[in-house]
Amino acid sequence: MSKYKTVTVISFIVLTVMAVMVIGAPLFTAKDPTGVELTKTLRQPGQGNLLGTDEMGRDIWTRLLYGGRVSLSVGVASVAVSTVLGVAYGAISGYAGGWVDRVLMRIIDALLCLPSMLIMLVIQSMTRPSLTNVVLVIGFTTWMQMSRLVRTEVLSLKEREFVLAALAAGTPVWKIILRHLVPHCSPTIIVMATVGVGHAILSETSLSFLGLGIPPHQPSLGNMLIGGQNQILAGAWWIPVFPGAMIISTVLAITFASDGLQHILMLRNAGIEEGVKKWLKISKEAA
Amino acid sequence: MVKNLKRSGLTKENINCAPVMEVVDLSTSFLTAAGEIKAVREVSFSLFAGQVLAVVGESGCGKSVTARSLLRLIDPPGYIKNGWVLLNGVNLLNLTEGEMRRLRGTEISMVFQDPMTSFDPVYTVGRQFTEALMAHEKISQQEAKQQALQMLSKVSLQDLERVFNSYPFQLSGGMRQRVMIAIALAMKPKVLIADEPTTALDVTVQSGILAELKRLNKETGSALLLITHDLGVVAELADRVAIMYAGRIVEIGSVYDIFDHAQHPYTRALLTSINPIQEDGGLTAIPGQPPDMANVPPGCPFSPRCPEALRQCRQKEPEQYIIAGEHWVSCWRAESEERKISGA
Amino acid sequence: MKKGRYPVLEIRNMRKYYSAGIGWIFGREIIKAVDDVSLTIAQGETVGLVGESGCGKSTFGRTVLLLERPTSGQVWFDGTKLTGLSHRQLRLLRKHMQIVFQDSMSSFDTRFTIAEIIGEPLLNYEKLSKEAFKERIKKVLDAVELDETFMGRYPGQLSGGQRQRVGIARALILNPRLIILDEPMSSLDVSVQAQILNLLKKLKLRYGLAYLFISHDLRAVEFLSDRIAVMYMGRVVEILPKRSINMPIHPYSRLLLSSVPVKHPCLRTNKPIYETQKSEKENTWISIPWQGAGCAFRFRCPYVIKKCSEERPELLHINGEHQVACFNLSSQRRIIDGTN
Repeated sequence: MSKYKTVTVISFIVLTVMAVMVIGAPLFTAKDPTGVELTKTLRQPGQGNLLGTDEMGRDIWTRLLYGGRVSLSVGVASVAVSTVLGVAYGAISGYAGGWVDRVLMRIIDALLCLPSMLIMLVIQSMTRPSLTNVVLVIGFTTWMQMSRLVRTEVLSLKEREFVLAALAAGTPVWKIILRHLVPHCSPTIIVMATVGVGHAILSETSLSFLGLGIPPHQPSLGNMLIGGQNQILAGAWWIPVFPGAMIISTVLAITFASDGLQHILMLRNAGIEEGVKKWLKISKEAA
Repeated sequence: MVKNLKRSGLTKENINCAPVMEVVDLSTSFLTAAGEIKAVREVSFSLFAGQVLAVVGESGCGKSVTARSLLRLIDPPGYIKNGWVLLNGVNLLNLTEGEMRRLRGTEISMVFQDPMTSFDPVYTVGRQFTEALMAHEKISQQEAKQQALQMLSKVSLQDLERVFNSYPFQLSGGMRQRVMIAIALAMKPKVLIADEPTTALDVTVQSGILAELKRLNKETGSALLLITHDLGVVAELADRVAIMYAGRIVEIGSVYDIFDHAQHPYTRALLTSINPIQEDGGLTAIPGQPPDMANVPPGCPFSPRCPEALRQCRQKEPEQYIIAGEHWVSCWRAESEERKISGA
Repeated sequence: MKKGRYPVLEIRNMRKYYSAGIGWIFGREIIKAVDDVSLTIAQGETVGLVGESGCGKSTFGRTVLLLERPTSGQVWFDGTKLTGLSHRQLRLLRKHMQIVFQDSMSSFDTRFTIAEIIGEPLLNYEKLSKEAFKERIKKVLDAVELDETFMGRYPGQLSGGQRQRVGIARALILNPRLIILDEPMSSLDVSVQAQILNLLKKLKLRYGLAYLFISHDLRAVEFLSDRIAVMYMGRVVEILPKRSINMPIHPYSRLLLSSVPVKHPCLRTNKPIYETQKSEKENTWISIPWQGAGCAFRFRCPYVIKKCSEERPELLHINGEHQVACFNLSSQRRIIDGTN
């Protein structure tokens, strides 16, 4: 448990620092992320540019901050899209049950059969690359897992008596779903969503790397990677390494954080006092 | 020790018939973050061959922990603090874990409330039965099966082969409990502990199981310790009754002592619960809730709910007073010098 | 139903069947949880419904409120036919009929405070100011003998008895005319059960409530009910007025009554009321749910005659309100007169 705790705390600190830095990017750099300075191309780290410059003389540190801003916001926004979609779909499917549920779930099975990267590629190649498009595409291709989990949980929750009690109290169905069922799924939803942010960031970088994500002139972690790949041979290792490291550390921190969150939420959900009492009762009756 | 033996119910009347098991000053506690929880406090009683002692109380009063303490089935953070559990003069609390394991099932066995969870669902009851037998005796599979079938017939089951080859879920609750009793009695234990054996069953099934327990108790001559919350079950089955409240035995006596001459206000309140209809159209209810064991009230633990509480009830825990013979009560209302159990 | 009393609830030929099984490969089984039950509850009357677990009494309670749709049959409430109403119309009538569940813990959303739990029905039907809302909750808490400090607590912080009081308060807040009590005391300690029973009786008299009191505890049912219906495998086999509770006629009712543990050790009998050996054999197997014509109890009944397996016995009035569904009434009468 203590090992979990330290890793979780470190991950949260890393994430908070990153969030502060990318949100407050102008405070940490005075330079322009798109400002081309052809006199200063391919400078090594140090020497006036903290992390060096790329082949067009743009400051890597600055681009990292602004690119991280784009990538993180894509991650969060697309997860918001997929969460709303997934929770709504899953809750409706689970609550309705019967043939409605069966049909809705078969649709999900069908969607899950298609590799999501492929769908993203197809859709992105048909539309013009833009931030909103990337968010929507990632959101619409990753909600299925969430809806499956929510559906399973709603399916078991709706058998609990408090749902019947709410029904008997005259609570309308939509209110039962929103006020009783979905909040009970919140631990699952939160954990799934945090994991989703990591995945979404990876998807964004892959799309951008393939030139189908964020437009090239806007800095994003993926764009910086693709820009850097040609320069590795020229010896400019710093161009791809820093965005790469940023991607890895962000995704790892998110994964560990969600892992720790899961533990905390599970404890919370049982209610700590409740948990102790329950455990006391069990040990008393020694079931 | 004299005091303790007297409290355990050993008096002139039954001194000739030595008890099978004596429990003296047994205390079991649980160590929790909230502090020590004294689930069982200085409980003493004796079990006699062929007799039924019922331990009655509400949930959390420590009756199940008492039963488990006798078998030493208390898991950490619980531990048996002190006391003696004497079986044939041997203190079970001093035995090694290995010796204790050999005793469980042979000398003392236990029947649990829910017969579904006490069986392994993936094996037939027959296999579980023969395994239990072969664990204690060097016998062949065939002999074990013969013994098992014989035991099953003793608990009034029919169609024995079919029962033997059934999985637990294929049997009804009543049948499972009968099989459980058969397994528990197979090794002819001296003491059988039944922890709420009929609580999970329907009334019509319950009456059958109770009749079975009553018959087998007399036939096999094993002592039966019956843990229950239902005084109706007690009225059907018990020879002696111990009333538990907040980890203590507050009154103990023969079933007639308890039903006709109950001394403790709590016992009397419990008794009204099985004679519900009153002339004025209401029930005599005990006010308040059973105490939180982490926070037992000072003095007599029942005093906050007691309609007859005196001032000293809230300050000092009452001592034990003999009412008659083996009937004693722990209540200040019964206080008098000659009744006092000596040595207290 | 007593003469001149106005029926608040009328159930006509209600059936609730479930199909179980995997489907067309292994075949489906029909489980008749409620099989052709008719029952009337008058204004202010309490009808007890007793039976063993799995006899369909809880399903019946839920189907009466149309929380589950009956397979067939009609439910009339106060002159309105509920079966066939739309969800919206039904929702409007629901405020007059409420339910108290067995396990008060699982019938509450544990994330809500007591005030939110009790207030939920109120929010669904009435638009109240914050003060008026609080006032109503206070009032109903007072009615179930809890003080207002409970409003901000969570269900996990309450004892079983207090939680069941909250459950009753939730059912009470809309001033219903009928409350279904679905085993309201079976999860409580003996000493607390009496408190809840007293409270239920008090509320019944104060508000003129009608109860359908579902329980397996004959003693509790006897205390609270005006009439008692005995249910066996989805059917009502006997309806007794309260004064006849100790003189049932149907063999199953008699078995049930005789199985209740005695109240005093001197009343012990070692003799069963009738030879149950046969019934043990037939019935302790979890058998295929009984189907087909005939009396449901015929496999356990020692007084079975030929007609019992051919036709289904109907509830017949034998003495005023007392109704029995049995073909072999003459032998039952003889036995009762002979032994008592």
